[in-house]
Amino acid sequence: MLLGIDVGGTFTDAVIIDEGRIVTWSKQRTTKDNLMCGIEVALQQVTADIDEKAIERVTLSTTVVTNTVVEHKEDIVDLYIVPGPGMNVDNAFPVDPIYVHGYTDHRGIVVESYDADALKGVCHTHRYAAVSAKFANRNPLEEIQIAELLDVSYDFVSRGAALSGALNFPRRTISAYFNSAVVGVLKEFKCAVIHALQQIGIEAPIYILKADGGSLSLDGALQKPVETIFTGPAATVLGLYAFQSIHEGHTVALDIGGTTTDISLWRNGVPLMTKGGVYIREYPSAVRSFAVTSIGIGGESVVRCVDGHITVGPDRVGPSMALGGSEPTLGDALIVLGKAQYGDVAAAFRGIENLDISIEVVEMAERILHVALEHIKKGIDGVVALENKRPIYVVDDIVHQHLFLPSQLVVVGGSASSLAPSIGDYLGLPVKVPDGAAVTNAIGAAVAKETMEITVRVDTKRRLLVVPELGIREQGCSLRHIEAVEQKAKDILTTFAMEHNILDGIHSSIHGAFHRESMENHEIQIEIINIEDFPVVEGWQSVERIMTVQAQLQVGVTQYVES
Amino acid sequence: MWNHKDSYRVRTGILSDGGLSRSGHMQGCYGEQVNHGSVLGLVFFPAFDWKISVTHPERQERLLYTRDQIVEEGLLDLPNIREYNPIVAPWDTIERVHVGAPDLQSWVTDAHRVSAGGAIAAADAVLKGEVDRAFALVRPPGHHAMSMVHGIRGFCTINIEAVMIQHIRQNYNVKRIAIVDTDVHHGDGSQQVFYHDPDTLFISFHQDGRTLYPGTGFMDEFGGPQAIGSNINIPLPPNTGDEGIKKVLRQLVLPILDEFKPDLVINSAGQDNHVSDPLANMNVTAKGYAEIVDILQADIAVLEGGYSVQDALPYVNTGIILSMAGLDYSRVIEPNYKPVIQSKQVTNYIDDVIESWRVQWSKRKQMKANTLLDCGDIWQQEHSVYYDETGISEDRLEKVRLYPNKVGWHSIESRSLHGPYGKQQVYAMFIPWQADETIRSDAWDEAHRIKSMGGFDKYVIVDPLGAGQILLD
Repeated sequence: MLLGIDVGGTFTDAVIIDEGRIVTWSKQRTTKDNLMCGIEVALQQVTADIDEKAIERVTLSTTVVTNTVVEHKEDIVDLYIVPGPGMNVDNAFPVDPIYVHGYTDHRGIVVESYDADALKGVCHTHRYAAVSAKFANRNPLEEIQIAELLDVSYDFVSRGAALSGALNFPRRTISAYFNSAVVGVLKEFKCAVIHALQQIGIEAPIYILKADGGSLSLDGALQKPVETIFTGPAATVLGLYAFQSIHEGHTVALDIGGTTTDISLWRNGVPLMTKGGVYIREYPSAVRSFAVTSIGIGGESVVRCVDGHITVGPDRVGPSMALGGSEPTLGDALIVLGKAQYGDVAAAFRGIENLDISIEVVEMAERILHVALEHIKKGIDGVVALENKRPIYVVDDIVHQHLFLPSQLVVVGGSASSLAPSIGDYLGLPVKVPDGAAVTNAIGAAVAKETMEITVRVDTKRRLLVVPELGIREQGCSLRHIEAVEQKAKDILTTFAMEHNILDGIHSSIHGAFHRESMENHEIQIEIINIEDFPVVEGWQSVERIMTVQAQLQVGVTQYVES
Repeated sequence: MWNHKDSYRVRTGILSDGGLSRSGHMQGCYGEQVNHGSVLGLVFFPAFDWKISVTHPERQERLLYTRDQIVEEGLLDLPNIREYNPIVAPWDTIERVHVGAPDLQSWVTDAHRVSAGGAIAAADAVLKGEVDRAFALVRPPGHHAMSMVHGIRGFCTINIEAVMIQHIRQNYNVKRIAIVDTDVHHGDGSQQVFYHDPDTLFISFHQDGRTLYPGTGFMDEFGGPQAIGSNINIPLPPNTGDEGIKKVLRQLVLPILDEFKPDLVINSAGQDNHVSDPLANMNVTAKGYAEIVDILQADIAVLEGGYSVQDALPYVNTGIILSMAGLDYSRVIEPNYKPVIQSKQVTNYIDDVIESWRVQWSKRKQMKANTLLDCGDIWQQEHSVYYDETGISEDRLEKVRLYPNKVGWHSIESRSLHGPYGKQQVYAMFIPWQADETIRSDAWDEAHRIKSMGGFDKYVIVDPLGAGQILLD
């Protein structure tokens, strides 16, 4: 049995899944001040009637890291950067960076090495540090050496290229910075979670969801805490995956929560990823995630009416009046229209009626719904327009552009069933609401696979192979063809998976010792995300190649869930 | 002087963001849009799937390291840099500039159309007021391509700036346009396309044609008889550095622009004046290029040549982008850069060029009067054009119809022998974009007259703001 927990902004959900079926689930209000309270109650509820020992794995999707950065409560970090020549980055990061002299160029050649003596002179003011060098993804050597020098003076040192092998020095730097800035928070959370689970008698291994939809063991997450930011949308996407509700064509998926609606786009059953990574506050980071856009409309969006002008959201004041709130919400309007059935119906009517007593209450509710639908439509249109403006770098894709044209809607979340039909009508699209839609996120968390992403870059001229995420730099590499580099990437990932006991399914340690047979039965699914293969001409004659393969243990689910 | 730092949308009072919002990132509620003043539209199109041949300088890899650098610098994440995709330039627009032998389709590929379409997308962003300036970082280049196309010249097939300007003239009310070509090679294609247009000023500074392809670009190529003074060639000695180019800009180019009073300034931004370029011999640095851009304050820049793909382009383009976006470019310095001091000899030579130019510029009105006095209604000239990529030689007879107060037609009688499509004989009549009905009617009469005499395989009329390209049959 798998246990999934999703701590959202409004609700904390828990679900138990056994062989593709939902055994039991619970929905609690999130206890903002101390997330653990809500988690404990949710745990007690879902485990009330089951044998705790049968739980094989626990996965959490939590706002603990997200809230920390949103509320500016992260630790301050000493940030060491090796920018070399280029853009002025004096004001690009949350703190004034400590500049380290040196430069590695775009081919990964160290043009000028860092000055170790100068580093010794820097005074350490904080417990945590981060290091990031320009083009460290092409050659992580300098970054690694600087991090090693700093390691003695700090509790924790993050490296940009260890977190992302992709180009974009400011993004890797931001990832490294926040990685160190939230490690303390995640450590505390780890202790609290282990304690809470032990209280109930659950000893299964614990995983945390990442923004890209993969999961990490709790210890693994402590090396990359920044990746556990913004996991709510990832949980939704995985939940949708688990329901197998999205197949062909271009699908718009909506997760309608209490405060916000998350919009994601799917092409032929595959969710789209962000271009460079998520924004952490105003800072673009290298943390990969699904491309999910939040708009300020949810089931508990507050409704106001000033001089006949109706607004819905973007803020949430409290629960709907039907549930004892003090101001009317979109949910109350849906109750008035008979589209939702819960709570104190009379209170919902009262709230909507009092907005403007000169307007008939059902008419008012309809106007409110219309405003909400218009917001949602605008949000979807904006996301689709942006997707269709994605930069393209090859002639063929410009000449044969594949525009995103929505052909169906899939709606999940607390208000899915009450709003979905209206949204479908409004947009003129077929709409699907999977069963269990209310706890999609917790389901997504429960079935998340472990993932790992690497970038393998081969420079044939220099006979060099680099894997920045793993700190690998191999001289004397003899690979000359892109197919061979692809195979190498797969081999490296497979080895990594075996060394870390990552199976394409349940963690092997559950079943006792590691069995090679079980590994063979579970073929590891590796996905090639991106391939670049460029001829390099030097001296007009010799044609060498620069080849880059990005590969990952495939994001996905360990089992599908009946909906 | 020209350099007043106001963008097109500020000068003309149009300001719009075209409904574009960059808040597309996740959790869009964080990260308020910061207004940095100057917004740069960037069309970055490296055409990673197009080459002339495997080892040719125009190959897939050319903008690879530039991509690496600008992505690694994080330039595409800056709030005041907006990325635009190119469009595919419509055949109709291309045909209002170029005539092909045997036809355009024989030479022009999708890649060329997308490159020209990149320039068009950049122009649209500026002219609609969505951005302050725009940079089309596209390939393949175009400034060696002339209106008559028998093949590929200097890696160019169609003139992407000319196609862009055609698009601008068709869609926006812009009369006076200046092109400043900062490529190390003389922009002979752009010169030819606009040679008879007094409202399009073409300024090219380049390494002296006696020492570099295409071997033209001298002071006496000063504009056609009705457009004298609208073509400015500034040949510079090999080993000219940042100092020399900046001096030429400040002392010559800006004052000329100031007198011309352009509505729009376009920079043909070749990057082969760089000290490391393998095809030329100049000493300009990346920061020097950023300064050139800063001094010029062009509205639209379009990439041309530049073949030091590893050592120059990544840094030059970073410098240009920062400079056009109004950001600090002082830290853009090539790794291992060792300053090259421009020799006294070079400096003196440049001072002489500037002085000669001042004299010629001051005499331009008199020169125009004298030319017109000599040649009556029709001015004509023979010359030949060589297509280096395919080894084709084309012979041309060019004629211009002169009017006292109007811009007249010009025609090209063109013949080539040894191309892959065999012998070509094409007559093309180019009606000026300024044409009224009299000019148009005179042009048609002339084209029919030539056709009645025979001798060509095909006869076309190009009417850029009228019916487009028409094949006479």
